[in-house]
Amino acid sequence: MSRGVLVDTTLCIACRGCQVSCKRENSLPAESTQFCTASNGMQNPPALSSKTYTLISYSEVEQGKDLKWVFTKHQCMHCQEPACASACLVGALTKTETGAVVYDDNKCIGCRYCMLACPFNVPTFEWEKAVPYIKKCSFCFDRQEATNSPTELNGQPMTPELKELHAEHFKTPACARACPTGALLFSEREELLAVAKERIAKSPDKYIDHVYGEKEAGGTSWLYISSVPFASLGLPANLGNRSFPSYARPAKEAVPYVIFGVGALLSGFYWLSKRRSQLEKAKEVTK
Amino acid sequence: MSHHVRVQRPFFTWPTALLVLVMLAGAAAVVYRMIYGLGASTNLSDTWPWGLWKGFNVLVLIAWAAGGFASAAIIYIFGGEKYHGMARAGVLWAILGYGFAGASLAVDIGIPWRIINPIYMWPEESLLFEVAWCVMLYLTVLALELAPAVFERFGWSKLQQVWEKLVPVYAVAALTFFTYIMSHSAIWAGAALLFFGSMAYLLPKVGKRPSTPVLLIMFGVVLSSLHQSTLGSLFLLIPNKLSHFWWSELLPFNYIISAVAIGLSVLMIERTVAPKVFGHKVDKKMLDGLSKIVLVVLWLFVLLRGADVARLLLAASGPGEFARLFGGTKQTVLFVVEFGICFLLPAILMLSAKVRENPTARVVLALLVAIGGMLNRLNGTFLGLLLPGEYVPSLIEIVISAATFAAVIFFYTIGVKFFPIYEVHHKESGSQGGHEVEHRVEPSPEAAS
Repeated sequence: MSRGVLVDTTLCIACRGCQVSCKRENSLPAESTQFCTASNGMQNPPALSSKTYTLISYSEVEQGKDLKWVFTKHQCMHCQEPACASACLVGALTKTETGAVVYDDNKCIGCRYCMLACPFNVPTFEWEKAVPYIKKCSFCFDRQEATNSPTELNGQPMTPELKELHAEHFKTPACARACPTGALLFSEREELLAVAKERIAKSPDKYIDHVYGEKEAGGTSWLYISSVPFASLGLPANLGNRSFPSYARPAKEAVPYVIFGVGALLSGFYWLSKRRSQLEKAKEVTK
Repeated sequence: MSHHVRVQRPFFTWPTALLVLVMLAGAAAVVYRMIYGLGASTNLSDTWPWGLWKGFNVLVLIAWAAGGFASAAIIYIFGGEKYHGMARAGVLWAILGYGFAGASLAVDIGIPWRIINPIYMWPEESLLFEVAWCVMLYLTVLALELAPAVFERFGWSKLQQVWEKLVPVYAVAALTFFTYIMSHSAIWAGAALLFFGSMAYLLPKVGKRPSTPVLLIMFGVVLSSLHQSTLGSLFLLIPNKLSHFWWSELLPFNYIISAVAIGLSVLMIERTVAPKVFGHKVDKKMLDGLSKIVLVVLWLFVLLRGADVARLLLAASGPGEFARLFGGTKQTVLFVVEFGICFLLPAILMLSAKVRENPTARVVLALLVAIGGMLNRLNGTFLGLLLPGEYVPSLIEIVISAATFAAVIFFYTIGVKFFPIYEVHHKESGSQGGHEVEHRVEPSPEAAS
């Protein structure tokens, strides 16, 4: 079953607990603080990087007389059909059954085609390193797939209920676990879609009638609902609903046909040109 | 009668010295990049992951080297006997273009020594994986196509015979294996073995000595048709980032057709300039024919791009829409220069036989097409991308790109000096002498022509 996270931007208070939690989970270094441009307000750091896998962006959105200050969590969207995985020439990027798009740094050669291909500009690169790798949110996939819960807690054996509770909590990505307002909801993707639509139906005045990520670029594991247009939150609006790998797939599937087509054409032309020169020679002889 | 000669010229000339200087600067820049990493040596960023090295060193050099497969097809498949004079020059140019494209790709990727990873890591669907395999295999094809020149140089006629026997076997085996890893299907692979195996058996061999097995030529053309088009297909994945002037479902067709026009134009320049530099006779008949072929392919490309533009126009349904599509952005200027000046203009001018057969006009127009090809590839890789911010190549990026091109030229002049690449015709009757004498007698170019 494919899991996901529903981001309800109306609930986010920009405490950035998710940002901190992500750093701790992935042992990421801090970035030096700098003031962003006026439109970004207090956002820090300015963009995702090899040291920051998730980021709360600050957007000031004017709606009539209102000025709304909206905070949006950015990270890998974990596409249903990831363009990066389709691009990678060594298979370093794959979509797991739990929904995460994961990266294998034992395979990566550093060609950066995944960065170019990603519709959301998510994968980042360790530019400053002599041996650089691609860095991005892994959806804490190792936690989702881990089954070895501890048997003891503070020297006491764990009860089955406690064990189950631990396993459930352990599955939750670090960012979602840290969220104090419920702006990040971790569950099965299908379930999240239902929750999102229910919230929109309940408060049609509050939300825009659209779940971002349901269909965008073929659908993503991370879903967003918002009170302002998604484009104003830095979520690309020009992606369409077609999955990105489907643009490239016909070209790859054509390969065996091209091998045989070109092979047969060349054989035919070659045979013709030989035949012609033979006939010409024969003509010369009869003359 | 004709045979191949080595170029007689001093090793040291001022242009050579200049090339060596640029290459040394490039080598120093490569050392800097290896020590301090890509961040310190390039202007690339998380927003602009691909730049001049992917654009020029890989895509442009490979497009410029397309003459290797196009000329091989013209000569060996379509029986264009009068083009035989450019066969080895085309192959030498191609192997250097591809070789240095590969070498500089190792500089561009994050972990250079992992450039061999695709050999044993096979993903399910990746266009770049296909390109990697095509380029690796095509390099072996080019090396085999060039081998007779080496055998001739050192008088290894036994080896030449072994080569003639083994090459078709290699071509069929490699094609079968390649079909397998591209399709992940034993059925496709078996069909490839059956088809190309029987073609190797049925088709007449190329008769002329030193003969080239037709299966090797076919293998090279198959690989080239695939990767030259797939280099365009790479950008099918970025419909949201590449400007509408270049993104099109026709990208693979645009790239393969333009590669033929660009590659042959570069060969046309080479076949005009090299004889002048090395004191050989320019083969006018060949160049006249070549310019006719370029004209036809160029028009094919113009029509394809015309279809792209027509689709854009049809999609633009109002005056505002029209302004949005063709408004004065950087991309509009690039498109007009690339398509209008570098492709459409030569295509129109070359319709006149007078222009086509004028040596100066011809080489200028071929140069325009080569530059248009360069622009087209750079536009696809970074100039035509609609991304925030801006990417301007750093000095180190430019130096390494210049050095890569200088290396191609430098090793080309070395190649024609040490190996029998150029064909000269001699008028005396009788067939003694000819190809196999090269390693014993070295007629001076003047005497030979």
